Amino acid sequence: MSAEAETNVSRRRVTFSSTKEIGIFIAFVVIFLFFSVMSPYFFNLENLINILRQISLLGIIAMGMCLVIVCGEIDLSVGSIYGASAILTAVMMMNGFPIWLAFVLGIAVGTLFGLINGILITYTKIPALIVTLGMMNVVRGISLIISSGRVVNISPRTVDDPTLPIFLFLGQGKIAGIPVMCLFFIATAIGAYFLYNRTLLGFRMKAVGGSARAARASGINSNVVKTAAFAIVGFLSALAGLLNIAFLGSVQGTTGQGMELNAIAAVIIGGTSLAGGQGTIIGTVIGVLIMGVLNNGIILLGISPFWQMTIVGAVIILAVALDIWTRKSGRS
Amino acid sequence: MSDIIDFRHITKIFGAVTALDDVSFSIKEGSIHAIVGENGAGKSTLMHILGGEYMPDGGEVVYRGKPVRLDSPHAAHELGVAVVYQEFRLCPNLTVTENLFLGRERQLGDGKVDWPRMQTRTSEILAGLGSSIDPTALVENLSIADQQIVEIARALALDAEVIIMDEPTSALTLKEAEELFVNLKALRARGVTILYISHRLEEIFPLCDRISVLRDGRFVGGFEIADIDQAGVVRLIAGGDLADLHASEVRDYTDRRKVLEVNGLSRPGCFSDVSFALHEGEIVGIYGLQGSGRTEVLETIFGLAPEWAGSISAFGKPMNNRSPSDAIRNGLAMIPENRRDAGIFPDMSIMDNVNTANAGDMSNSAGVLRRRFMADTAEDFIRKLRIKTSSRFKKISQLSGGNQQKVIIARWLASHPRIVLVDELTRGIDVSAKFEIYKILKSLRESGLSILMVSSELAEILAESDRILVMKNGAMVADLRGERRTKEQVIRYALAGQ
Repeated sequence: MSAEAETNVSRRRVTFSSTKEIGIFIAFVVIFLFFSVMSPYFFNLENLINILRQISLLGIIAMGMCLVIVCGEIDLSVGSIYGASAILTAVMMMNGFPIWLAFVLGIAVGTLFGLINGILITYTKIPALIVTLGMMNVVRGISLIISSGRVVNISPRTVDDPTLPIFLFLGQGKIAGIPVMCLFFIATAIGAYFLYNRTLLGFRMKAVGGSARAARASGINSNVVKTAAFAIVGFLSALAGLLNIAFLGSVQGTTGQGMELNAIAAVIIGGTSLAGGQGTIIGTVIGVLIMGVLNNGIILLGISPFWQMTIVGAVIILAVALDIWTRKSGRS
Repeated sequence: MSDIIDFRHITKIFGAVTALDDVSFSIKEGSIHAIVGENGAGKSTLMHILGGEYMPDGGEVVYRGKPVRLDSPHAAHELGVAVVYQEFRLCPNLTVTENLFLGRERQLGDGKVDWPRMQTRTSEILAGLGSSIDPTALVENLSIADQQIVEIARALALDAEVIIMDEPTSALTLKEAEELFVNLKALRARGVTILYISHRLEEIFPLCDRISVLRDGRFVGGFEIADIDQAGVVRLIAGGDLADLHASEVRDYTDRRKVLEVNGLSRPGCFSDVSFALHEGEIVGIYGLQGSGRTEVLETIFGLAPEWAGSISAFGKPMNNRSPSDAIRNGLAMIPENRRDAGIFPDMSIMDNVNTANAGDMSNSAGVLRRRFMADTAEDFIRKLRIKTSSRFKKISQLSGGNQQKVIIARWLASHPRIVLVDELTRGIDVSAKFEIYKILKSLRESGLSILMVSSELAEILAESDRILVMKNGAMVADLRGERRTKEQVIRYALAGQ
């Protein structure tokens, strides 16, 4: 009996935990093969690493977004937090703050925005859609005020700190051929997977999103759980924002606009239910990959980039339609 | 007077439960006809069939001599049957007139929407009910009594010949109820037939012309109101045959230590001045009709009520639970009434569902889940409680109701409680699973747990509890034990309060 239980546990450790992830994985493979066949430039190491680099920042945010959506909530402010924390950090660096301190403060500010989101939503009972829509604009406004609408540049000319190359390395460097940015994404994904599947907090996020009343009756404080999810996505948005400025060496007030919708799209394509209570980190990673491959492949095929949004939009609808359809047929 | 409605051999089955079993009786045109029975006797099911919400599995409804097919509320309306549900079905954000003509906006205007005409018609109908409600008022701004009048007016706007009233006085004050009775009598004078479903025998006798009694889904008697008295109806509702089923199993624990003591407990709008004690190893049942405050008492003890007064103590120490997590810490567990909404986590596995109330054991100090422990706990309970499943990874929503409830019981046993509160433990569960669950209940008391059990099922309360507390209208009206712990006594107190 216990031996059997043992194998059950370990089997789940290595395989996908549901057929849903297999479905989305197959979709990814199909898209991947399609572009490999259609374009000679698609399937080579340089391009693949390029795709990975392009999706890393979105991926980091999508990990947090997945947790928020599992809680049955939504966060529209991540793109603004992504931009604002970067601008704040850049301005601090230019004004003589040590880089490490500016970095820590930038992340702290992003986390704080997330905390504010969570506290407002859980304690005032204002819907997350409204609170984070408001925060999206408030935080965007802060970015524009601080930058006065201008581009903020980070370079040895503007920042007088010998550790600047280390900071820029986070965005531009490579370790064993893999961009450091991607390593951050991989680490975030592993961390999110662990949090979601192996910790009490992740367990409670599922519970709170699955049935608020049952969670309450089970002695779970859903306010704390949800606020934690918002703080985490705030933290990750700020981290992504800082990696972005380290990569580009510059940031402006409008940086990160539309990021929130891409992050939500990746989570949904990955098979996480907007209704809350069930989500998948692996699926979200695949959802991010699909978006990256689509964007890259469309350009390589010489299709007008204006088509990108249209195609990604159609994929979102298709993914959810497939999901509903398979669930219906699975039930009957 | 001729018969307007004739129920012929109506049968309705929900899964393993037979809600109506070969029910036949007729209703005379222009009468007020009461339908009575205890919780679960089949009154609501019959009403839903007549209202077009359910289709009977057997038998037929005959209307004015013709068999009719009531496959939707719309079909019932076409026929002239309207239901005024206990929970009103009005759109609070619309005006009185808009509600009256909802879905039929073109009816009065020869195919066009003619609001002034609808307004006038609304005023006429309301005036006929002796009401001065403004037709342009928003429904959400009306009192409960006025909303009920709007419901009745809507039935009249449908030109209803038969109006079914479901527990119409449950939310009304005495004075409002009196006004309602005047209205109902006036409607009867105009030839409208009224089916009056109520628990309150004291209102039925002065108001109604005939009375039909249902018990366990069967029709057990119909009378002209003059031919029967209140005691006779109570006897019929209770049934003479099963007075004390399991009296042998009943034990007297009242000399043991008190594990839970409630004194003068009140919650505004729900119940007041409720006092009782629960002893070690005891199973105490709380019986009462819907709305008598039973569930609210349990919720209050478990920390789910926003505000309350009085005192609760557990194991001799005062207990003030502000949330369920406080209650769990104090050794309490609660299996809630509504399994689907407040019990299960539908998307989670059996294993995860078992472990949700078990935070202390299921994770280490760093908050990392102890998955082996969770798996062992789940496997242990699947075996002990005989939960029928192929694997602990199966989603709980794929189990039958009885097995789902066993998972919920497992969840609470895993939290190591000392007092268990249960609310409608076996609602919607088939008979064999019920008996298994009762067995579990008995085995829990053997291990020293004390159980406070709310149930609408009289047979369950009588068979499973050592002592029966009866609630009526938010008050604790009886503590029945020993000789007095009989079905007749329970029903008498629950209906009449004395």
